[in-house]
Parts: sequence; structure tokens; C-alpha cells
Amino acid sequence: MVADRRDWTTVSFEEGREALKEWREEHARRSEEVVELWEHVLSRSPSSLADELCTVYEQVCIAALDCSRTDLAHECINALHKRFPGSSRVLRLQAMFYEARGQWKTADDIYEKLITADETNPAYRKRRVAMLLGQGKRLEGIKALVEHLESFITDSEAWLQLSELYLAESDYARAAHAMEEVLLTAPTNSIYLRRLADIRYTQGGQENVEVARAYYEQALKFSPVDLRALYGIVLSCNTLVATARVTPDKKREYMTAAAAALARIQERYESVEPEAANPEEHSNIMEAVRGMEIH
Amino acid sequence: MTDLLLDPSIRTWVFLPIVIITFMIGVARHYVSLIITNKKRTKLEGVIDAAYLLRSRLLRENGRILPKNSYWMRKNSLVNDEHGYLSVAMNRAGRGGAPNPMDPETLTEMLKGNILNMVPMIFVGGWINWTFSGFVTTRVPFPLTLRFKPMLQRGIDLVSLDAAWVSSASWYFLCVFGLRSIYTLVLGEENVADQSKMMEDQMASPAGMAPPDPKAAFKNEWEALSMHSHHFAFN
Repeated sequence: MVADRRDWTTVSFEEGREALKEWREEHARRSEEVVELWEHVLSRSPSSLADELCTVYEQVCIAALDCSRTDLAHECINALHKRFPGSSRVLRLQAMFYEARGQWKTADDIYEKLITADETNPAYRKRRVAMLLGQGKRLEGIKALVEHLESFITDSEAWLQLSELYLAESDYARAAHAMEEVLLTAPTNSIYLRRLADIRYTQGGQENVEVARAYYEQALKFSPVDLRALYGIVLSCNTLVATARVTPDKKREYMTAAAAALARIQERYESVEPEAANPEEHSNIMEAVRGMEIH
Repeated sequence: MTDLLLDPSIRTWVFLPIVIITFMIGVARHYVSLIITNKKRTKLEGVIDAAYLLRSRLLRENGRILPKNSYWMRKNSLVNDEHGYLSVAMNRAGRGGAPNPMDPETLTEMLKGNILNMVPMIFVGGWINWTFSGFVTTRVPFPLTLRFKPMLQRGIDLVSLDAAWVSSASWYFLCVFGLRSIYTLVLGEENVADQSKMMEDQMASPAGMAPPDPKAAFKNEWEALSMHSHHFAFN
């Protein structure tokens, strides 16, 4: 994947086509670039895209809505509508178009119709949830999302979103539950592990913090450079040491674990920014890190 | 022994027409089937059931990454005697169970499949056999043993004819089975023109393509999950 921002207005036709294809396949959200590429390069001769044309129209349409270029989106929808009159996929784009213009009622009616026509397609229900969130109706969004998950219980994307929404509502127990569902489908994803650990740590209480520590350790195993997980270990161990109902054995174990993590944090700072580069800042960081240690 | 010489008009009026007719019929089959078979509509219940089965399997496989509480909560929601999803689905009558074979919808589907399968096989095969019978059309470029005679020389009972010669009826069957890659080339991957594939499908499932019984799947999953023991992996 190209990380730097290129000037997409001057690339060749073939190159632009390849780039669009790549983004489409990996579902990259590079809307501005897609629109740029379409307007400057590909729209010069749409017909030479042949079979790809319709999927490109769809991609450009969504990207255009993302950049609130409703004129361009309208163009794409019209072209697609001419080609596939009565297609539900085009209808969905149309609904998204109304969504982007803030005509929620119209969009919702279309989605309603689409869901009755094909109730097994999760995409329409998810669009509805997205629409509620777009209007800032978080609680209603949660309700709709839960309803969606009752039917499509293994939809980890939806669980992830639900977890985020519960976090925004500070409902940590439910957020943790949703995050656990996500984790069930991707048990080795260190970011999810760490997120769940964060939630558990925030929930507080000895049991939760113990679990949080376990998850931080695991996240670190899958991603050894995860500084945040290291800090998590230190913090949760420190919390546990301060808890009243901990046996001396356990206490010692937590202290060693915290010390080991701290050592690794220091090591990491040294390797990223050697002392010579900026002595003052370095010593400040080291001071702060050492300050976290419990004796 | 002098070699057999075939009349060039056999090539023009028997050999090539058989190839072309077989091919055209395959293409026609493809389009006719596109017209008369309607898309299978999946029911929402089916999707939900599949999702729950998948979740139960995931819980068994990855459950060890969850702490005890979370694991038991989920397990209970699936296998609880009174309202666990799997237990309920297991004992559910009606929409569970194998689809009724007398259901008119299933019957029409079967009929359509049969028409698509049998009509070309019987009528076209018979017609070709009748119209082009008795010709020696071509020869395979390698020697064969006598045992191949009934396969390659259907319709010609000549004891002295070398086994490498192919009769018109046999040539038809060779075309039926050998045109698959050409269909793929012309019609794309997902075509139904090829009869041999359909036959293979039928051979593969001798029970007559009965779809798996959802009730049994739930029962298996219920048993597996009930037996599953849990250890938190990160302790």
C-alpha cells in the first residue's frame, strides 16, 4: 500500500485504474483520492473501463458522497440507473445519496423497502444504524444495532461498533461483552486484546484488573512493540499491588511483572530516542517512567 | 493390411455436425436454465440459525480466551435447558427438519432439473443415434485393445474393425463429456451447459441430494458445546 500522498491528477489511465481496483479490493477509504482520480484521469474515457465500469461508478459514487460531492454522485447514480433499472444495489446508492444530503426520512423509507425485499442482506440494516449514528441518535443506534445482532450474531464489525457506542455511553460491562464477541472471531488480534484489557481496567475491581493484566500480557505476546500494552501491565499490576486482598506471593509476582515491563519501556525509549539527542526530554521521560515503580 | 480411407463427406456431414450440435445444445441448455430456474431464496431463519451454529463453534474453539464468567454466560445462552438457543432449536418442530419432498416448490425445482438433464440426454442422444448411425467417423491416434470396442464403436458391430476407430454414436458421447473446457471458455465458469458435471454431482451424493438436516446439526453442536470444558488460557 502506498502510504505517501501522490498527485493523482497526473497518473496514466492504466495506473489509475489499477489503483482504484486495489483500493476497491482492500476496502480502503481513500475517498478524496478516488474522486480526484476519477475526475482527472478516468472520466476522460469511461467506456474503456469496459466490464469494470459499473463497479467503478459504484466506488466513485460512495467516495463522492464521502466528500459531499453530490453532483458527482448524482451523475454516477444516473449512469448506473440507466444500466440497471430497478436494481436494489443502485437503490441503496440512491438511499445513501439522500442520507448524505440529510434527507433522512426518504433514505429510511428506501432502506425499509430494501429490507422487506431482501431480509437476509445485513448491509441495509447496517446502513440504517449508520444513519441513526449520523444523526447523532446514539441510543436509538444502539437499539437498532442490537436488533441487527440478534439476527446476525457473528457480525464482528457490528459488535465492534456496538462496543464503541457503549463506551461512549460509559457502559463498560456491555462494552466489554461486545468486545469479547469481537475477540471470539479474531483471538489473536493484539489491538482487540488491548482494547478489551483497557475496558476491563477501566471497569475496575480486583477481578477485572487481573483479567485486564492477562489480556495486556497476551496482547504484548502478539505484538512485542506495543508500548501501550506495557504501560497497561504496569498500571494494572500497580493497582493490584495496592489492593487489600492479595496474598504476599501474588504481590511479589505483580511487582516483578511491573518492574519487568518498566524495564522494557525504558529500553524502548532508549532505542527510539537515544539520550544524546535530547538529554533534557530524555531524562524527564525516564524520570516519569521510574516514578511509576512501586517499592 | 491396407488402411481404411474415410469419405471426406463423412467429415463434413457427420463428424463436424455432431460437434456443432452438441456444443449448441450445451449453450442452449445454459440459457434455458438461466430462464427457468429461479434464484434460491434464503430465508432469514436459515441465516440466523447458521450464525448461531457458527458462534457456538467459535465459542468452543476460542472460548479459552474469555474469563470464566463471560464464557459461562455465553454457553448458558446457547445450551440452557429452557431457553438456550441451541436447545430450543434442537427440539423445534416445523421449520426445522428436512424439507418436505412433497412440497410443490421442491417438486417444481426437481422437475426443472430433470427436464434440463433428461431432455438433451434422451432425445438429442437418441436423435443423433438415429440420424447419424452407422458411420465410422474418426480414429484415435493410438492403438487400443479390443476391450475398448464397445465404448468407441457403439452402433457398429464389426469384428474385424480396429479398436482405434470411433463410431458416430460414440463420438457424440465423447463430445458431451469433452466439451467442458470449451464451455468454460465461452460461457464463463458458472455455466450449466456441461452435462457431465451434473452427472458427477449426482454420483457424489447417492442419497439424492438431501440437504443436511438442521435439527441434527443443532443436536451435534449442542452436544459438543455441552461437553466442552473451559479453562481461561491466560491465567
